[in-house]
Amino acid sequence: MAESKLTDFQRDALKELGNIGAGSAASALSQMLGRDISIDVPSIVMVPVEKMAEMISRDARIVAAVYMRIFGDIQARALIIFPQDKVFLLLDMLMRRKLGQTKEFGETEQSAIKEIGNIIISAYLNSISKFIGLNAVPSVPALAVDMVDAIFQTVSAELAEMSSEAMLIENEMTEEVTNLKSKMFIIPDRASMARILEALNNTIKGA
Amino acid sequence: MAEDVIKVNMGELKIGRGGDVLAAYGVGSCVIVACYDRGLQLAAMLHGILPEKPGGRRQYGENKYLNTGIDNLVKLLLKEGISLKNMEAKIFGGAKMFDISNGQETIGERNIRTAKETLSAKGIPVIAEDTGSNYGRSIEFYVTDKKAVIKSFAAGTKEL
Repeated sequence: MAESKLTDFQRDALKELGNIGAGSAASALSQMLGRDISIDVPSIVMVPVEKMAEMISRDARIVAAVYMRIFGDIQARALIIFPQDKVFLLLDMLMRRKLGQTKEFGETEQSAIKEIGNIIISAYLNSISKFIGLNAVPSVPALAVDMVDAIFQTVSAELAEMSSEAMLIENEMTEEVTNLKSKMFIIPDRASMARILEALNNTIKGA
Repeated sequence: MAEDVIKVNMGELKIGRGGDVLAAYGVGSCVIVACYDRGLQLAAMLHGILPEKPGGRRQYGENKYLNTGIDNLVKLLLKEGISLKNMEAKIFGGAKMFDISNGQETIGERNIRTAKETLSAKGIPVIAEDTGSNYGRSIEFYVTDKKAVIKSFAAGTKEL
């Protein structure tokens, strides 16, 4: 099956949607950490699901990943990843500890990371679903600390059960002082992607 | 002697000979099947993503599904002149990376089960496995001595 191509108009509209989502996600993160967060322009690509892991990383870097399934009008997978070597700094900021104070990754720390992921992803989804008028309900968050490839392979296997390709919306958020870069991925399946594009079209025309 | 590393990506099936290393990196819920001749230095590796084509219809020629992928793997080895009764297999992966339990069998578990059922239906014994659990693995299979080295962040390094 040929890969779907997005038109320039669709790509711009999706970027704008990504920006809206990232804006509220970053503001949620900023409030939680008590720090300024900067965001990059989102990248949006259509990928065959089995190529997704390869596209994202070609190394065995270890990351902490919070994963949620999205149900409702939009069926998607959402993932936020933090580099493993910055997880302790993230916890320091979250728990208002002195930088360098967190030294272990126990139950409390793990649920704190899950909760950050949950709040950021939910903020993102809420703002985009309000904008396009489609509902999106997230599952409980799950956490894995592992090779980034293994994480994406698993997510793409889940998507492969639903469609042969998916839309990958990638956002990067940075906390400048600690240079903590977190990446967020929202990955709707093919049918949801079509629904999002249609809703975007109606929203923009109606505006 | 320097070994040649042959990377086997998602949905791929590759063959290796003496001196080659068949490798799959960062394997999560996917299942890796390494099948080889007991006596010769010849092996093939499959990197299967799902147990079968969604919807249950068998579709030939697809290596991303474990059922049809193993069919292709065996055909490939038969074409090389290996007889079925000399084939053995080792399987890896099939992890449950995220604990979002809804009581259903996970993709990893289904992948492992389908790999075992398909191999067993062909009479190919599974000599060794490192499967399941909740962590990712990188697998390097040395064709010369049919040994696999499995590396993971959570459980360190194993040889099988």
